[in-house]
Amino acid sequence: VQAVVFGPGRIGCGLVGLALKAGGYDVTFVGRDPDFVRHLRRVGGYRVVLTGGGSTHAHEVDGVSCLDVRDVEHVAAAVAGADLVATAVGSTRLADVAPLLAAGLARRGRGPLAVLAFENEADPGRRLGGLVAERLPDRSVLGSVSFASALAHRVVSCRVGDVRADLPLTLVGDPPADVDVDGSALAGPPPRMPGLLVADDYPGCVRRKLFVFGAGHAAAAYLGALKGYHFVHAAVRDPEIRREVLAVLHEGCAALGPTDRRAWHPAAVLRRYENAALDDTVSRVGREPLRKLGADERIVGPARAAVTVGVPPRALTLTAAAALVAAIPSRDPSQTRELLWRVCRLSPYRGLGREVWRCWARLADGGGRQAVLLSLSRPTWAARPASPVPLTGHVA
Amino acid sequence: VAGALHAQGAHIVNPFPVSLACRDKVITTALLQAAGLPVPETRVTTSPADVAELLADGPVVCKPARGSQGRGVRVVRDADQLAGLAHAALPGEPWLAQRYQPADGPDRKLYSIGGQVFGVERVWPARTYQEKVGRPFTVDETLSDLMGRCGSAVGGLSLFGVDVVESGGIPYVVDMSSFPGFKGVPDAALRLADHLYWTARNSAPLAPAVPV
Repeated sequence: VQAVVFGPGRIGCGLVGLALKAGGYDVTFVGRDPDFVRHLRRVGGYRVVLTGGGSTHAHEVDGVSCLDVRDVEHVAAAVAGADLVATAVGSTRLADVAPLLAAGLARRGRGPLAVLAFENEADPGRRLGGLVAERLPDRSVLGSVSFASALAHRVVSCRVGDVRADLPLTLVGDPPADVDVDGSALAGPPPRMPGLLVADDYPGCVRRKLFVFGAGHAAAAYLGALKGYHFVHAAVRDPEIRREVLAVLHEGCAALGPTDRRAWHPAAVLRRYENAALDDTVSRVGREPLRKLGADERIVGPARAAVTVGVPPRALTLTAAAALVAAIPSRDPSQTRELLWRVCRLSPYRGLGREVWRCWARLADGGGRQAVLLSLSRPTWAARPASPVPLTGHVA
Repeated sequence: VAGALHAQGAHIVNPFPVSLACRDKVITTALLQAAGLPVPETRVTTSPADVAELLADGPVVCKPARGSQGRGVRVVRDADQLAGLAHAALPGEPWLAQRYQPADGPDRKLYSIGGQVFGVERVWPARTYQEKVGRPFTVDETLSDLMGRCGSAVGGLSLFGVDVVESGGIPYVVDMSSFPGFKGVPDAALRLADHLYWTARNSAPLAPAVPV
């Protein structure tokens, strides 16, 4: 059985490729980086190191091949012959995959095919299906194709190795292998993939992950950056940040309601953040603060839900303010106010929005844009320009 | 060990030659002066008689060239105190005799961890543990800039401390250490570990290390 994986990145290699090989698939990656493609073609494999709970296990992934995304002919042929396609390219690149998928599907028979979209958005499967349909003159070929969203629970924090020097690649991640797949979008039997769970309520799965794990992770990253930490594992060992992250996890659980919250144990989640072997940086976890400040995303989403169930989202409010500082390094009040309206869909003049605004004003006050905080609740400390931890995806 | 590793090209925090220079207050003070930093009028001497000359213009702070943690530091206000000074010094070892600058307030300790600057106010001499821990204060842009200049003056330190006495509104640099205790800096150990790991990760060719 053949599988094609678009995006040989952290999730593509560290979770999807590993699980598909374990499920008995022959895996072909499709990549953009010519050096990476050459390397994987020559070496034919990589290593995944999973570390957590005091133990570490290395998994060799052998016998994989790789195609260059520009080699349309071969990529289309691989898709035409595949039993499963997965994407892990990042939301912004999903549209680039669609023409290749369409080319492959156009020359394919009528056999069933599952396309799993591992992207960071609410329903990437549906979006990808739409993008592919737009590019197909004969849409009847889509009758046997399922475009399903998939949610990875593993953190794959880094890729070690140098493909330019043709040195072996190692992906480092934590053990959870669970993958939630949108059952409502799957037409045929689920793919043979260890850890795959067919979810009846996929939006609920996304919500559960975002509101607790995602929210706590964001809190560790944004509060950690404010206090000048580089690593998530260091930030959550700071007593003050640890307290706030735990509070975020509890507020997120409360926002989920009594049934869903049972899926999470805040102390266990905190232990995952503490995993120093993951080598995870606050800049990686905190990247794209604008997206993460979205109204339904991991910070504002649970904060709004907490308000509706009568739980004051104090720590989530602080996290939102810290994310605003990351999103607007100039700490410009008018830009921040506008962002609150436009991205968070919150009014800076009332309710939750007003609390976030007040909190932002306190964090942003006094230190200048290069400052790091001594304390989350005390005056700002000055710092030399080299010191702040850079977070990408902010407002210039 | 550090010298041997440096000779083999190891990346050391702080750089070995700079750490070596910072162990000698004569060299450090000369580098700070040369960079135009506000250092009190300073004379290097091996003789109490030289210090006696300086006393004509007011009190002098005497300190051994290779001392640390305030050991051997004396404020000499009159010639009678010079005898005790001679007793405390090692024969042939130089001292620094610095013009005493009456402080506007408590002594200020500034610490740099990877470019992040922290400040702690401390009474001198600190006797109790609480006095040694001191009280954090907000570092303004002037002091932050001063720290940056001090780090550059001695050749690029990322971990260091500077003692500042503000006198008449001027922040005089009275001491510098290439690896101070960071006492009073909240979560200093965690911040240091984070900085050291970050530096190591960005120095090694195959960093980060793969867990085994």
